[in-house]
Parts: sequence; C-alpha cells; structure tokens
Amino acid sequence: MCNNHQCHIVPPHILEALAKRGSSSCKKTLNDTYRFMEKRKSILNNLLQREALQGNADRLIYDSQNQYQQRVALVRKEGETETGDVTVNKAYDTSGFVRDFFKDTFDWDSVDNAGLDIVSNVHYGMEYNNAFWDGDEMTYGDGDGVEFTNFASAIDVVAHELAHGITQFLANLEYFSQSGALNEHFSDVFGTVIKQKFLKQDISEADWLIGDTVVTDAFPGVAIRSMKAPGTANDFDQQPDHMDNYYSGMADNQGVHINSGIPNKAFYLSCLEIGLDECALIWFETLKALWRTADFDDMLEVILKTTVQLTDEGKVCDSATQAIEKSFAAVGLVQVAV
Amino acid sequence: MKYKILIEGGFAAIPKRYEGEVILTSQEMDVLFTAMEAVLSAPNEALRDAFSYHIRLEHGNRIYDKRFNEPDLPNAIRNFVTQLKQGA
Repeated sequence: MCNNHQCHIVPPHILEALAKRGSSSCKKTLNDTYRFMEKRKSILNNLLQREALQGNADRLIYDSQNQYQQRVALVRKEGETETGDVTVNKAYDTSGFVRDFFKDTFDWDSVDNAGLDIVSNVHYGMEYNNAFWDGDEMTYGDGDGVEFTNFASAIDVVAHELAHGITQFLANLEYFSQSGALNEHFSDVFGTVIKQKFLKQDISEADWLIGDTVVTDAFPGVAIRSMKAPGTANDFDQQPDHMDNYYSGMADNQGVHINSGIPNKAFYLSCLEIGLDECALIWFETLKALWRTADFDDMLEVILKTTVQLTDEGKVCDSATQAIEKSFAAVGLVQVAV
Repeated sequence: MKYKILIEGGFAAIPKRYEGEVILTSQEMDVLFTAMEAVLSAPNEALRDAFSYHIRLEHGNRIYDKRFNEPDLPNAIRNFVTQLKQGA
C-alpha cells in the first residue's frame, strides 16, 4: 500500500504500475528506490575494486605540515627508521600495534582484510583538536595545547579511528542514530581493548577511559569518555549508561557519540563477568554479523546468537551468553519476545 | 556582519558555538559570501569523527546559512572561524 510516500515491501513492478496510474507517492518511492540502488551499486563497485588490490598493510605516515590537507609530505613508510619527529614515530608505532592486534587476534589483515595500506596524516591544521577517519585514511591534529594535546600519540584514539575503517568493511553501520552509536561503540570497544593490551594491563588495572592522554590538566575532566561510568569523563560528557536516559535529540548525528555510552557500559559489565579477551572475540564476530541499519535491539539479538555459537565451538566459556544477557539487561536492553 | 557558528562532531564531540557581530570591509565580506556560495561536491559519507560546521552569516538582506563537512570547508571560512576562536 502507498500512503504519504510510505510503501512497504512492494515490488518495483507494482510501484511502476501504480505510478503509471498516477500515484505520485509511488513515483517518489520508485525514484528513491532506484537512487538507493544506484548508490549501493557504486559503493559495492568501489569495494570490489579495492578487494582486487591485495596490499601489504604497510604503514605510511604523512606530515600535513600544519596545513588543512592530507598527504602533504610522506615522512616515514613501512620498515624505515625513526625520524626526528616524535609524533610521526608515535603514529607509526601505534598504528602498527593496532594492525598487529587485529591480525594476531582475529586474523584480520589491515583495515579491509586485504592488506590495505594504513595511511596516517599527522600535524593536520593549526592547533587542531581532532582525529578522524575519512573512508580511506586517518588524520590527526596536534591539539591546541590548552585543552587537548597530540591525538596521534594516543593508542586508544588511533585504535578507535582504525576500528572505524574496519567497521566500514564489515557491518558498515550508518553514521546516525542507533546504528551510528553502535559504530562509535565498536570503535570505543577496540580502543579500550587495544589500550589495555598496549599498556599490558588486566581489567582490574584498567581505567576504562577513552582519550585520557589527549586532554590537558586544564581540560575540565579526566578523559573524553568512560566505558565504566559513561557521563562522568568531563563536564560536557552527556553519555547515558541506561536506556532510561537515552538521548533523542538531533545533535551529533542523533547522538552517535552520546548513546554509545549505553552499549559501552554493557561491554564493560560483560568484561567483568567473562574477561576482556572473550568479550573482544564476541564483539568482533558480532561486528561481522551486523548490517548498516542495525539498532540496539538488533545488536542484542545478534550478539546473543554469536555468543551461543562461539560457546558451542568452545571458543568462549559456557557462562558467556548469560553474562552478556545480564550486562545488556543492566543497561535496559532486553530481548523482545516474538 | 552577524555570524552564528556551530561546530559539531569530532572525536570528543564537544560542540563549540560562536555568535556575534564583526566589522568587516565590503571586500572581506565578499570573500566570505563567495565562499558560502561554493557548490559542494557530494558529501563523503564515510567520514567518522570529523567536524561538521554550521555557518550562518548575515549582513543586511544578505543571509547565508550552510553546513560544511571538514574536507569541504572553504579556506576563507576556516580562516574566519580560526580568527573567532583566537579572539574567543
């Protein structure tokens, strides 16, 4: 049925027939459908072209020389000795650690599982307070020195950004609302897992903070986010730790960095129950099974199925499913009976 | 010229707002207004943690209101925002 542009599970040939009979809503839906199909086709083509190029997962570090541009000057590539620039060397080391973690732990080869080169741009812009993934490479600012410091030196920031790349080649979660919050969540999960591995900590020693080393003493807080206590990392931190406090506003792409606090807390609680390594495996396999528009309920359904499967295969402990279920219930996410 | 600027997103996701009025020469304003009229290429939907800039400039009956992603932000606008930040 078509009503106010809402057509549900209607095959294109029926839409076409109705459109021919003058239904403007069906015509619009048909156009939108084709537009989406075209877009998806071009994205798939790009991915297929990329897959054909098997790389060596080489690290390439570019210096933006304080310009707002990427790939300004290649300053260090795989196998080359240290340069005189501490930031360049840190970006090289941290991106290598993240790459090796995914390879050694999950047999995942670089960002795309096909050895894509890992490109990092450092010294981006002037006093630039950010780090981002752009679909192909990572870019880091030096921070303004007032509230933020160098983003490329922080292992959890580098892991977070690289994980966005990996997510792009797996679930490719859309970057708004709940799917976007899950995208952010997975980046924080691997950010915190890799940080603990890098610092050789166990979960009792870990601070579960994200971005604690990129904030200065003058910054009004201890970090950017907290997995253990969402909403407490700094004066601006509005992450909820329960669905009761879910953010439903429009800011931040409908709260992608805000509502990620809910699954982040569930991850933390799960780690307390069954440990970091088993959780890392469960979350990675879940990321492989999710899809672009997945929401929190989908996440819970898939993670429980994944955990049962991993338990059957003897890869995680028998109590894992119950632990995950309990952790998600603690943040207000329970499976809906069908 | 009146301005309203909202910088959202980013790894830290701490929004920054700048609002006020500055005195600019007509030449300086023209540079900014021309930049605001720039035709943007298709947005990069793979951006993650990048800043987005919501810029509103107003002078008399000339009103410009536009959103830019990090890679699309025209240099003239970026320089203007940088000056505001430094003065803030």
